[in-house]
Amino acid sequence: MIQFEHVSKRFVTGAKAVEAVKDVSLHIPRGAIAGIIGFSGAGKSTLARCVNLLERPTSGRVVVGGVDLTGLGPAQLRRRREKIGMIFQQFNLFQSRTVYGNVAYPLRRRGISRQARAEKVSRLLDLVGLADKAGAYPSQLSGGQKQRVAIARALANDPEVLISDEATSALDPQTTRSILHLLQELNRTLGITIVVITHEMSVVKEICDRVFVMDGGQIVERGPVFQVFSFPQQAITRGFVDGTSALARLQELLRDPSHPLRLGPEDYLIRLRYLDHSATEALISHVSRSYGVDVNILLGDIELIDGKALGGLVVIVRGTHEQVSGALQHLSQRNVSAEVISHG
Amino acid sequence: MAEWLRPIIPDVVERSDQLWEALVETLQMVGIAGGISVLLGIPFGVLLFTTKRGGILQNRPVHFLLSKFCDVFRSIPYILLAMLLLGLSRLVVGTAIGVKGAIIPLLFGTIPYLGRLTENALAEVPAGMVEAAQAIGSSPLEIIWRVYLKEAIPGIARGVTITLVSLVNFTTLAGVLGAGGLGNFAVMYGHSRNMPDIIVVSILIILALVSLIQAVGTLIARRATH
Repeated sequence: MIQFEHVSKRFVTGAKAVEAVKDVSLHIPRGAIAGIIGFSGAGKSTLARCVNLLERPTSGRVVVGGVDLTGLGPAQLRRRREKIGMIFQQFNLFQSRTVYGNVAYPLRRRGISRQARAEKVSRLLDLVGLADKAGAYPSQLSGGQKQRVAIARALANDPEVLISDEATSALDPQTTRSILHLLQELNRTLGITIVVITHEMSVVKEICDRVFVMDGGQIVERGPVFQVFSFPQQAITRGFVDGTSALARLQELLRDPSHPLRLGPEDYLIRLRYLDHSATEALISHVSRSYGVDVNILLGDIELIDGKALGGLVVIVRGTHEQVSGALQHLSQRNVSAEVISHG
Repeated sequence: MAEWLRPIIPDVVERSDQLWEALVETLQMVGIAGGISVLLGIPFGVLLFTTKRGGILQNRPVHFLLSKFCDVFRSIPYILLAMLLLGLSRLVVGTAIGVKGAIIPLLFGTIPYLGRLTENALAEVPAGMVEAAQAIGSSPLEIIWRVYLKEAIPGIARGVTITLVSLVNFTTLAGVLGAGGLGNFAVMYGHSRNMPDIIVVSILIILALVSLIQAVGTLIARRATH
């Protein structure tokens, strides 16, 4: 659905040139929810704005729905943009228009009757759960409601693609979830392809099925979300992944020199990652019995990513070196990755 | 005019017909020049704003010319500008005196002014809204009409108000140069013949006119703010 071929974007201000996007090639299939994650300044917003050519790439091709946008004239490009909806962090609603007026805005040009327009708007407002707010002005709405209006407006031209540029970054966690679930629902019911730009891994975890990690204008890691979460390759990706799990906080606690966790001579502090189905087996008690080790569970965490369980434990295992390494070997055969963090 | 006013403002009552005539002339000048100023000044401001670097109709030579035109005419004191333009007025409308002769100089005073004020009002429209409209597929003309002008109504209403108030000021100066109106009336009688009551009454009438313009402008701006 969306194809980038060697897309680069340079910004020139005076004598300085900044390459915001460097030779990015990617493909997002129809019906996908793709996340583009990175820190601010990583170039992810610039990349997203290249999808509808709000930002015209310095070089490279942008193909959306089989049409090379970079080769279109202004009028043809505007026609294509109608099929690419976009929502923003700051909502960008028209302040002088009511909720109805905002959603109706994209429908004005096409030769449709006033009545058909009214029906369409009320259908869209129903879809985003704001049927009772048609007459309100944006200034009277909460952040979550504003974003819902923006979503309804973005859907008015029946787009094939929806770009969400940090759309939940200004919202509280609960509202963020409800907006993300709305996007997911739109993806399922309308088959719309969604590109989610974010700096929060929790957003990617919540709804995306694939993720692109950006750093310094380049995509440094990409793949299905579950895979990237289970085996992050790059340090930056590990940083994003750890930021979302309780396990990372424990590591912080352990790094504290005054931490209350004192390891004895036979204690091994180990981090286990459960991949796939092993999360449902009674592995710990089995290991404890078979290898004669004591296992003290400090922390457990399990989450669903893209419909699959990804879990982890932080444990203190007490036993001789042979006992412990035997136990770890057994675990790794069962698809549980074990990492010795420290030992006494 | 009522006889009971005679002891208080004798000269005004004596010349109430001329006063009435002067008021009508002032209103004509403000009405005609004001109307044309709005019709031309707002589009002028739109061009000034949109041809700027980074604007949706970016065109640097056009912007440069418009901007210089604006600066030149805004920096000339009105009384000198009006003198300068008497010739042009004679050429275009056939006369340099009376209400008719005053219109062109007045327009050169107000249009660049309203242009700048409109430019400022449009600059207040958040860039994000324009971006959203572009993402929706709006053309530059559509963005001007349906986003910039619509969103900037409060700012433009305030700009028009300020312009009309200046216009009232300009008409009194124009009066001195033979355009008639309250300015001329006050100078001719109040100043030259030392009739202070005529000056005071002229001021009060102008004050009322300005207050009315200001009130209507503020009302429109407030109604359009959501």
